[in-house]
Amino acid sequence: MSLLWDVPAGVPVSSTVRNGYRPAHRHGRGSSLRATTDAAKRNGTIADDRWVRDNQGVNEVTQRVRLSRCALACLALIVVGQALAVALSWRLEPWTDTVLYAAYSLVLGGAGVLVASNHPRNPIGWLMLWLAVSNTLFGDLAQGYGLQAIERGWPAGTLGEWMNTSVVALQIVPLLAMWLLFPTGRLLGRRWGGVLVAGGLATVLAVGGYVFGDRAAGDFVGGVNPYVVESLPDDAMWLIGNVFLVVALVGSVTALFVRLRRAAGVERQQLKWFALSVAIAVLVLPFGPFLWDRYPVLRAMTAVVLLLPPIAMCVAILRYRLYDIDRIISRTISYGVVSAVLAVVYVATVVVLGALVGRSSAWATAGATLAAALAFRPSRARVQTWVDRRFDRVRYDALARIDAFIDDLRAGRAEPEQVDALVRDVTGDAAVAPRGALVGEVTAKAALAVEIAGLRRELRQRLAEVEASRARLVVVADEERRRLERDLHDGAQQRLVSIGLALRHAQHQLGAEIAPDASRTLDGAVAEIAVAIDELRELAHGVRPASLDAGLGPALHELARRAPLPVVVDATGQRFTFDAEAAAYFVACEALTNAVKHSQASEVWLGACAREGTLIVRVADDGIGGATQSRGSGLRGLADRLGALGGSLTIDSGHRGTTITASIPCAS
Amino acid sequence: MRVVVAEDQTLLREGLARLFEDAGHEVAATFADASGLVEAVTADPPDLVVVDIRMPPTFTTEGAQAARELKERLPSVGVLVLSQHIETTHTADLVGYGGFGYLLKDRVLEVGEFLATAERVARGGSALDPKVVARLVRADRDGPLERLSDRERDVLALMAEGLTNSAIANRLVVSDRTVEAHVRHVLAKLDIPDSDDTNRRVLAVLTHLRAAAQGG
Repeated sequence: MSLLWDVPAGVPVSSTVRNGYRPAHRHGRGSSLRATTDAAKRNGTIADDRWVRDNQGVNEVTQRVRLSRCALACLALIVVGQALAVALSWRLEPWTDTVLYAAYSLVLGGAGVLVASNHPRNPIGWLMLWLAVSNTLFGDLAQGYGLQAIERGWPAGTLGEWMNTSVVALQIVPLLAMWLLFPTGRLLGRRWGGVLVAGGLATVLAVGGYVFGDRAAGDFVGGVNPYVVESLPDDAMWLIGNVFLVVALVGSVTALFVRLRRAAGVERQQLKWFALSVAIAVLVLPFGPFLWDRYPVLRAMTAVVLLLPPIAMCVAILRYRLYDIDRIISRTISYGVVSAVLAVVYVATVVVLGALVGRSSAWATAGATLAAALAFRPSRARVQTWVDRRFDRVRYDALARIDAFIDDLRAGRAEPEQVDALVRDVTGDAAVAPRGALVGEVTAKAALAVEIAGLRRELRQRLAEVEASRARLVVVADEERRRLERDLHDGAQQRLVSIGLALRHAQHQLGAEIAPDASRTLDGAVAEIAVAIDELRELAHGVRPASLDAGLGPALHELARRAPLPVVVDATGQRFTFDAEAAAYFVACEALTNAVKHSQASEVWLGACAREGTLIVRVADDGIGGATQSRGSGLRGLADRLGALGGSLTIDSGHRGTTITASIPCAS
Repeated sequence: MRVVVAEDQTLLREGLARLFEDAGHEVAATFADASGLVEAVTADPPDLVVVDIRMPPTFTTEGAQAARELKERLPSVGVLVLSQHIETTHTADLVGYGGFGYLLKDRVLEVGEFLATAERVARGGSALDPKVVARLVRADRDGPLERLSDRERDVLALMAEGLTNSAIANRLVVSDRTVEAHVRHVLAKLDIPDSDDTNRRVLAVLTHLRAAAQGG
């Protein structure tokens, strides 16, 4: 049975983004990154779904958190038990102890509820609950009752105290099991079960030796352990038990390291959480006994540190993707180191200034504070870089690769399109892939390049469309010219000839002898018609020479014959596509016209041949040269026309002669 | 003479037929396209077939193909190809057959000259449109034609058009003898063998001109 609660997201990524639109009110990095990624995916920038899917792990934040009733019941038990325990022990022991124990059980219980509800098959959550429940009932509550009973003369007070002393017997094995099973809920191997056996022996021997011997006397208000069993060799048990305990502890810590070493991907990230919390505890706890008495408030630090492992376990199992543990580790280390550095700076400054201006001078304190403040920023940046390089090599390398790529991009050494492969490569790395936050960071860093790549792709597509439409326009225009030419020849011209014939017939019917004036008028009209026909013919030829129907070769010969200067033609008799022939003809025509008008040439050479799928037209003259594409719109227009067909126009015009070459792709 | 007209445009077809009839010729048949033309002409050969070079269905060279077929099957029948524009690729070599002519359509408006040309072709003579000839002659400016006098060049052009010596004399309004002298000079200067056969002479002149035009 489970209840469903919606837990609000802590990261600006919501399901609405996944539904395809971008919420206007969110401008967090997460959402823009997601939008970019989505856009990139839509555009096909990111072919591989894998890192996107992994990245969507961030979206798990919005998933529902289940709460099992059984686990909740345990939590209720803990809450009620702790409330009673606090009420009972209040003022009968240091208040920090009361609060610390209560907080420890509540946090452990809360973490246990979350883990057990969402991963009921993983024993970790239930172990946490067991530890919290046993601690509450047999530890804190028993202790509270014991204290209160002794204070007020209730019965069985010492039993409560004794139970509190011996509660650890219920916890050693579960605690070791948690270490051994984290995070998968399975042992590394059968042999590691030996650690639990050692834990069991330690429980029986050490705890037995302790709670049934004189050692526990200090735990009783009365100073005497009423449950001593005289016949028990409690010293030997205590000693041997502690040996087993040390073995079990070393074994479980070793298990953790072995796991960390073997694990990859998600499991490794989870272990890092736990390792971090343990490392902090190991570093901080030794300070506890020194500071405990001097600054009672600092006992809270001990409590907080003790609470870290269960919280870390909970986060590791439930939300390992939410926060980048490697980043947290590197930040923790760097702030720790910076703090140490600043402390050294502070102390050194105080000592030096103190020696100069007097020990208790406020100047020394102020100067030391100033020095520490000034040292903070530069040292933090340096230490952070150093720590990243040293402790989070994966992140450092991943981001460094993106940085290097962006530098290359700016310098023109890389193409934006390569960003796909790069991001895929970087985020696909076995060390990076499970780190959702790092994947997000890498993607965000590469987002600009992804965007550029997308835009360039779109631009290319548009350009291709425009080129295609330009080519179509040219073909359509050619077709139109052909139709116009035919209309002129077969329509208007023929009609004029018919009219002329009709006039001639009328002339015949009238008889030239009988009506000489009318006959002369008709002669004039027919002559006018002949002129009109001639003009139409020239017009039609300008639109598109009919000689092109016979092919490019004949049309070029025809062109040469019409030219007012000698033209040597060397043209292939091959046929090409309609538009290729038309383009080639008009190039020759324009080039020839230019040669006649501007070059002062004495001879022109006109060639056309096909070579490797390209129709090449070359017009060369022996004139004065100096032709450019900008002079006159003729060559410019031709270059456009050729460009539309995927061809090109080159002009080589020196001091001696001009050579204009056109290349036109042709299928034949 | 008996004439067959093949022309796809009705008005023009009727106009041509009427032109021949007005001149007292018999129009044996008219065709709106080239299909069936060769068969009909073979079945009942006329003296002259006038054919439009562009006709249905593709409006490219149907007329020219029909003309070639006719000249190959019935060399004795005169064929006059009419075109809207100057285009010699498909027709120029047919001149060698004799009894072949190639004219621009608007030549029909000069009725007298057109009929004379048509009759010459029907009799087995040749005819090439003056515009075509003029272009060939113009193209050969730097060649051997430089050595000809203006008058000789005129005579050469008329020879190329397919005119006989006496027709040239009529056109230039000179005596036959003068024309003969010019012709001899022209042929000698261009190194063209003389021939009594006008058609062969036309072909030789054209071959020379075309070679000059293309070879530079």
